[in-house]
Amino acid sequence: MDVRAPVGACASAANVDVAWARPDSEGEQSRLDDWCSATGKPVVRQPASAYPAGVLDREATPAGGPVPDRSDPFSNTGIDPVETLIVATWNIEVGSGDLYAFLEEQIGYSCESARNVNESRVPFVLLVQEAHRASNEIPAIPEGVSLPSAIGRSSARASRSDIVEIADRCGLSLFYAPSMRNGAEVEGEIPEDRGNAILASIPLSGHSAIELPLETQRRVAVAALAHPPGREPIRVVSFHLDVAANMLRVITTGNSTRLRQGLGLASALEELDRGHRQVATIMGGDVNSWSEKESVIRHLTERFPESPKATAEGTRGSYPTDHMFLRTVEGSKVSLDEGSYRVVPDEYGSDHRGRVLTVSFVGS
Amino acid sequence: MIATLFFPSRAAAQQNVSSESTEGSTGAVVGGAALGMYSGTVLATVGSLIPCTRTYEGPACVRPAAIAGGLIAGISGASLGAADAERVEDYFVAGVIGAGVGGAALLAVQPFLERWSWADVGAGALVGGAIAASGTGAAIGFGAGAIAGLATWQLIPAMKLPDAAAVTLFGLAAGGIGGWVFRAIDAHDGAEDAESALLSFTIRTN
Repeated sequence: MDVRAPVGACASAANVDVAWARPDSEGEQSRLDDWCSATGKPVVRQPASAYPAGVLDREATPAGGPVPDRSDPFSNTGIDPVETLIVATWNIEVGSGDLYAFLEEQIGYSCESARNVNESRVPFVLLVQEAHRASNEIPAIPEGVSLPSAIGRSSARASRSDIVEIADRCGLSLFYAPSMRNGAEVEGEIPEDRGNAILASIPLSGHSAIELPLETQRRVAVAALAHPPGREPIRVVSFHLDVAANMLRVITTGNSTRLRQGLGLASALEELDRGHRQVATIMGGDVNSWSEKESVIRHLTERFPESPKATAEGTRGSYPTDHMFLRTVEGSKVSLDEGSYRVVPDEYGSDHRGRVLTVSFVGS
Repeated sequence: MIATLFFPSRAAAQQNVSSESTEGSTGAVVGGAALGMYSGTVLATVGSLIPCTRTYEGPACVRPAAIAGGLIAGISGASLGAADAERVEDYFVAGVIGAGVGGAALLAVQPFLERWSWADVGAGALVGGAIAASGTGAAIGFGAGAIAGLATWQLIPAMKLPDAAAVTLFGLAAGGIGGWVFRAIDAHDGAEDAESALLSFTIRTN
């Protein structure tokens, strides 16, 4: 993977301080840029309510504005350290999933009361797949660019909130990077794009967008450093792999689609770590796997050795498509809470059920 | 009068020298080897895709399976060509027909696919040709695999639909490659080619 600033069509997306990683192949980069040209810019939101009291004064980070890439601006701030951090992953089917209800019932986070900065906050990170953003700032579709079908526009949910609106309403940190347009332009409707996002009740920094090896659709994993109050930062990653390549590619590569994308993501994360202090990493996403034994899961588990055991429990119907991975580093004070890894029993309107785990911090 | 549409040489043989035994040729050996290798490689690839995706090796596990399938069917095809050139000709024509059917099938499903390309039609032709060239062995294997796959899917709660598909495709591959082996053995034993009855289309007049 090539870790550098975006080029080509994606260069226009460099409105915020986001590090980009992408495949080395120029052919792939060119096709990825075609996909990128039909999407809007990444979004970073850092609301005042996501910061522990006193931090904002020192950091002087504007609420809702861009956040510069700083390796560790928020830890050891002299505030009471948190004991645990909840991390969840969920594919919300482009606005079909009711995130407000999910947060309240599964995380214990009420968006209604969250706007009060002084209220006791649940430290959590939600790794979101198939998030969408509706905005008139999304560019017109360039000629000749292939588009995926729209998802979620016919959702049964009456109020279909986009990810930026949800982050604002709930007072959450947000990093969203679109992977692709959400269908063709529809007259009278606001353009939409979709991709992966990270929502958090704690500050995020070190935002990175990782373009996965191109198989069928452009997939951009998002990574950021989450800062649990009083604790070392943890890298959190939200990703979504392709379902399958075309038939010829499946036959000629031995169905390597998801393995290639998963290994590309792992390599990019290792390169990002090389440039920074190594931190524990929690990764969650839609692997699109039919079985918990798939080679991509085996390889990612090998590279993330502290991962919870992949289970066969279905997260999309009876298929175990969604998984979480954990890697700690030497001297890390983070450990997975045994027995905390679970599948959320309700889909909340999406076609996926989420997964949730809790990590504990050892020592003070 | 008997006219055989697809296998004129066989028709002539049936009309003129019905009791004469068939012979192989160098060209049939090479052609049989190539046809068998192609058919066996593609079948083994298709049959090993799902099982291999569930191993650590993943795609690296498909490669040796494909090579083994190609070698077994290729050697069998060469042996078949040495014993009976006409059978190789028959299976080649069947493969061409299968390729046409496979490509047409992918063309037909185009409206239902989000992403489609001519490469998919090519892949359909590739697979269709490999299956048809392997003849009844693939059909029997597919049927047995489908029955076994569906039965285990229904009887074992941990089994899912992709598991049934995996068993079905494995049956298709095993049957097809096994079919090449049995063809070669039959040809050397002088047994009649049972598949020719399925492959030939005859029109009777008067």
